[in-house]
Amino acid sequence: MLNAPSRRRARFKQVLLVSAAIGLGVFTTGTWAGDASAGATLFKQKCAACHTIGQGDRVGPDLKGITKERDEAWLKEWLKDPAAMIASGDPVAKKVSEKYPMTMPNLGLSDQQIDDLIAYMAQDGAAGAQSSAAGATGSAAAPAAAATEESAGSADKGEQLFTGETSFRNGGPSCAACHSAAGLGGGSMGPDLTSTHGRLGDAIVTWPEAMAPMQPIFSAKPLTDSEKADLLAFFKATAADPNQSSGGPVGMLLGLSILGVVALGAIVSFVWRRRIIAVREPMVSGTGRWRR
Amino acid sequence: MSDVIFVGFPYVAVALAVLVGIYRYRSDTFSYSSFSSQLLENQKLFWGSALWHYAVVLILLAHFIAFLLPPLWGGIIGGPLRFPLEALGLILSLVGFVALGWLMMRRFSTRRIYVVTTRMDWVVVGLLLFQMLFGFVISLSYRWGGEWFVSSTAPWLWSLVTFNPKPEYVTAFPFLIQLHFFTGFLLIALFPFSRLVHLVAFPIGYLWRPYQRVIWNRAPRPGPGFRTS
Repeated sequence: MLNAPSRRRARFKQVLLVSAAIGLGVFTTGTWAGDASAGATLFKQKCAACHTIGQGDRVGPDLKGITKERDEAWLKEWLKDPAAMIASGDPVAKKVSEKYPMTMPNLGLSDQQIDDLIAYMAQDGAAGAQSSAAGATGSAAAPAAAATEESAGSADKGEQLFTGETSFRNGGPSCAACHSAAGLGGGSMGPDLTSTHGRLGDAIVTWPEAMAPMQPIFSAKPLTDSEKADLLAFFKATAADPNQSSGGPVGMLLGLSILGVVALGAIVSFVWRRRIIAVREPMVSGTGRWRR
Repeated sequence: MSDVIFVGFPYVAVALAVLVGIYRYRSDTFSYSSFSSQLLENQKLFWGSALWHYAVVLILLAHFIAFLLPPLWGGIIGGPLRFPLEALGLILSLVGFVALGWLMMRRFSTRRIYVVTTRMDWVVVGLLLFQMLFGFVISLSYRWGGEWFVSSTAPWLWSLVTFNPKPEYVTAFPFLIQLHFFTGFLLIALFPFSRLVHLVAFPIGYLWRPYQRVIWNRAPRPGPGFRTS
């Protein structure tokens, strides 16, 4: 049994320790724990194409309450490298990969970014829910509105938007500037989109506003809801017949450019065949001395 | 890092080009020249130089129109002219590449040219050769450069012009394209330190100068009816 003064001293020590711990905790939280508002921006850039918070599953699961469902260490490891975690045989990761066939890509997040994202998700997306919903209007509610969108979208109009035959109303560039699909002769800066809908579903239509390097372009010049619906209808149609995709015109362009060089070389060597001597020639004609 | 390469470096490059360019013009006016080696060797020079300049001038023109007037260029390249224009660009870049290679060979193999070639000449001509090759590979493998330039590269460049830098337009681009941008600004940075200054010595005043001119090399003797001014 302790006497009163020593008890008081013990209590004082306890208080001191606890407040020091809290102080340290606050300090470290302030310095090291994630910043939810930075997380909100990151979520929009890196996650919103496949995940929602509280608006249902898309390519990946709805992340509402994910920080309560899984412990932080698991989430950190997962966000660092999903494929490695599945390969390591983690039972939860395995289950996730079975339920959602598209393996989450390694997003190359830094530890700070991971902390920010976890902090954001811990708030259930409260800080940025509105803006992320606004950024993905129409598609955020995709599961519920899928039926109406499907009937509204026209694959033909979608194809015209894709190739650039019809321009996007807000001035965004046509898909074909960078993508090809169904052998329509589009670009190769981005991947061929013929069968993308089969793998990723309706979420692909949110990618222009969510994924770099399209994100800055299409967040300034967003697609309208009806354009999104038309594009989805087009992608559904192409995914149904994925054999239409073609290798692209690389061989043809390469052949053409080599042919062009040879042809141009032939033309100039004919046209310019007397270029250097032509001026002097009349002046010295007949002498033969300066003739080349 | 991307801020350094896609914001800082372009500003540094243009600042160098302008400030050192002006300084060189004021302090060493007559060095604004290509230091032509035509007198030392003309035959090989003609084929290389003529083809190189036709190719690079047309290619630069396309880049500048796409940069200065993105809607106009987008309208041209977005239509049925896309394929022919892209093919023409590929042909020209290959012509430029071959012609520049030819000019490099000439500098190596002609002794009198070799001895008047500075280290900076080799640097510049090597960079130009790589830049031409990068451009060729990019437009072949990341199609269609003429189109995506308008909606990504042009806004990035304009964001720099308007001092509201938005590197995010290009930070996620493939490495080769970023390298093409970097080499481009590196060439701009080297402009005032090399023979590239002859770009602005283009004799544009030639177009409206008097067709005949009498230049005295000593003061004419004043006489009746002669006015000195």
